[in-house]
Amino acid sequence: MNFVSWAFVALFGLVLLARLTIGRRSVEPVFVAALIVASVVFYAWHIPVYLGILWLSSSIDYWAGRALARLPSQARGRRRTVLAVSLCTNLGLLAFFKYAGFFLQVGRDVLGPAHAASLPPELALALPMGISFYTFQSMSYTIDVYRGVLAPVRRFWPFFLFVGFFPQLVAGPIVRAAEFLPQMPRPRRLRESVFYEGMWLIISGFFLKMVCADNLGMYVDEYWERGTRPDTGSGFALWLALMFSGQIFADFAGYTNIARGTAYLLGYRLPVNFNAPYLATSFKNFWERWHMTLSRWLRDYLYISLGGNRHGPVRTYVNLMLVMLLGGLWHGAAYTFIIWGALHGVALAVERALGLNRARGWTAAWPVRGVWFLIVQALVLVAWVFFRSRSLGEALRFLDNLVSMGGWSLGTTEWVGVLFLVPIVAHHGFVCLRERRVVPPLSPATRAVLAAAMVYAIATLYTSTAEFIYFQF
Amino acid sequence: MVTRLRPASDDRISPALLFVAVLGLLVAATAGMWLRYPALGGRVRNITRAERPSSDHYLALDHGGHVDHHVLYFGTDAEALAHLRRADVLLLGNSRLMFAARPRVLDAFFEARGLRYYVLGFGFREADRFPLAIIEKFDLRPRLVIVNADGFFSDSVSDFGATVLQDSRFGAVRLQWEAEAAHEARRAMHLLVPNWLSLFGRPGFRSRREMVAYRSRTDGSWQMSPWDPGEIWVPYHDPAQPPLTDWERAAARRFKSAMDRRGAALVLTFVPNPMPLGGGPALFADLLRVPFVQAEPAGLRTQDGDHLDEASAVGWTEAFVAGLGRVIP
Repeated sequence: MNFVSWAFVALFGLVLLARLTIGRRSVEPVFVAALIVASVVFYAWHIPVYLGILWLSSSIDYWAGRALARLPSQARGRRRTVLAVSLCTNLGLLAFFKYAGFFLQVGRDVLGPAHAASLPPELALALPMGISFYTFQSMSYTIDVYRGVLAPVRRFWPFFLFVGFFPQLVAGPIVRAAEFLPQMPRPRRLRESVFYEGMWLIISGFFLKMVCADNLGMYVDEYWERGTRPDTGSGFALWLALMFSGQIFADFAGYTNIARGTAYLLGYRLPVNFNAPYLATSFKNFWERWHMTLSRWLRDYLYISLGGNRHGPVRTYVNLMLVMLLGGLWHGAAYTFIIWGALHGVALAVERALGLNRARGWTAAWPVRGVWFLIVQALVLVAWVFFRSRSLGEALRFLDNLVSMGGWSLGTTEWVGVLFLVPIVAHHGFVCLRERRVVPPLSPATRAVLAAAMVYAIATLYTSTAEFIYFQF
Repeated sequence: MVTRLRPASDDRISPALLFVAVLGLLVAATAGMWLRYPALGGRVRNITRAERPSSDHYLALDHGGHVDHHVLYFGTDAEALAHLRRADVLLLGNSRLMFAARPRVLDAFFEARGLRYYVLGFGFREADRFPLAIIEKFDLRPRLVIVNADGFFSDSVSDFGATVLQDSRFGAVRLQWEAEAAHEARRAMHLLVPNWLSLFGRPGFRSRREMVAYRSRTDGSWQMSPWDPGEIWVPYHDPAQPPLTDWERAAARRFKSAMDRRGAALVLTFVPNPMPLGGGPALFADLLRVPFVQAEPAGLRTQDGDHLDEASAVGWTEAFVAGLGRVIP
């Protein structure tokens, strides 16, 4: 189910009603049951049969958690086997649905047309919605239980709700069991401040999606191909790249805001996922601001498992590279995503080698930080070109235009499009000033005025809505 | 320092009241502006004027959802599917054909010959693969297939069509419900405030007007509502230009073979527009050795630089059936 649909409005209205009635009367199991039913309806709204995959992933991890709890810590081999079953099931599902087609294509490319016929035919499977998110979330539970940092859940249904909680089911934030499960058995009173905070997040999320992302997306979809033509100037290519970087931020941050707002109104706090990423002064800082829950997952369950920075600088760089390559592949089965991940991986490694990930010594000097900020943002933009392009060739043609340093003039179309970037720039500007404590946080009254303006903008400036970009991952 | 940065104390003002007041003010200001400057220089909120022509029509295309592909591919509308299955003549093509093919002209022509027709065209610049998928899925056996050759022969499917082919019947029913709900919500909401982008268009985009299309279950034709007179003249287009590519030739031959296997005769035509797609339609007819019906009456106009206005569409259909009458007397 898409947040931007009347079906979601109806579903959320019913669940909120449950929250205001049974959810307030300390009858937690009934409210949990209502949330599970809502989550099942939400997920089945896409392709009902794929509920089986969600159920399988949750069941395996629930079983793994229970099995690990029963095994003594000395039984290392058996504990590892249980963990392996969980990881293989989750990663197997992910690999089958997401990467089977890609690897078949790679096989065809390697074998050439003469032998390609020996491979199975092209797979035309629809990707189960949110599989990349909920398998990661489910796996993190088993790993935490295996590491002994989390006690296993006793009952299946609360665990199923943790994996399938509908606000964050399809595109995160990737929540940890230790963050989510303790929020269940507690009295839920819908205070005024909670209501206002939840509504603020929801309205700002819909504004980012329906006004900024969808409108920016109109320009990107209409003109992206033109950005790859040889006669396109640098100004136009730069404009398009900026439009896409705004679109993907507004789309994903908008989704996260709606997810966090709806969850908050239902009595659950979800972690922050974005913090004005285009203010990042280093690549490390970028990943502390962009898709923060994925960065955290990759750091804790992959980077540290690979050895992190404990085995010398070379191994650290290799680990960073590997993590970002896999992060790229997580986004999608395509060479363009691999390049996107590789660019970030190399950048993180180089930054670390130069000591620019920490503001110490010569790297603390403001001219150095300023130049590095520009390099960071430029490379992030270049990486987005790969992210958006359908093929490597398309991305390279686009970048060729970008660096040709010719044709900088923009027309009315482009300047009108830039108007939809203004709220994103204003948001980043405000966060920048807030971080430096130049301005106070928004007061409830200011938020109310802004929320009214955003609702008016949603009603009068929406365009044909597209699915959230991260739904496809 | 920290004290100074606290939000201003405004506990006396209820945020909810302030929200309602500001939103009300913005809506009132819009209404006031509308009264002061009636229809803002002739611009109208099309969505509020849209009317379903009859209960025989279902919502095909709207800002709130595009359901046309789903309804016909998954056969979710039993009546529409029954009429499609019974059709002796299928008219295929993109949205330009859907605007151009007018039932009041086609009815008289085909009824006189004892033929039932169905306009099986689609928006999104849909080409040959999607309608062919429908023909094969429901094993349609038309006697005659008329194709608007404007970008049709390409052995391709639009991005939107590709997602539909991967969807399910459940997905189609769900989408139809959501689209109808969104349509009604939009009609109500825009009585209060307009959608500025639909009203003024977006510089750099050809289709400046919002489109609401309803589709007839009986004959598959679209009815635009409202459908304003056009302003953009359609220049003459040489149907023998541009030359065909090898790819187009192969696609056209494949499509012709598929129709031959079904025992359907093929006739090509072309709906004039300022920016035709693909190779010359007459060249396709020569290649496939099928009749080409050229219908290019003078004075055609489009409402948006792409699709004919209603008067032009009627004129085009009349010219088309006159030409078709010479092919199937």
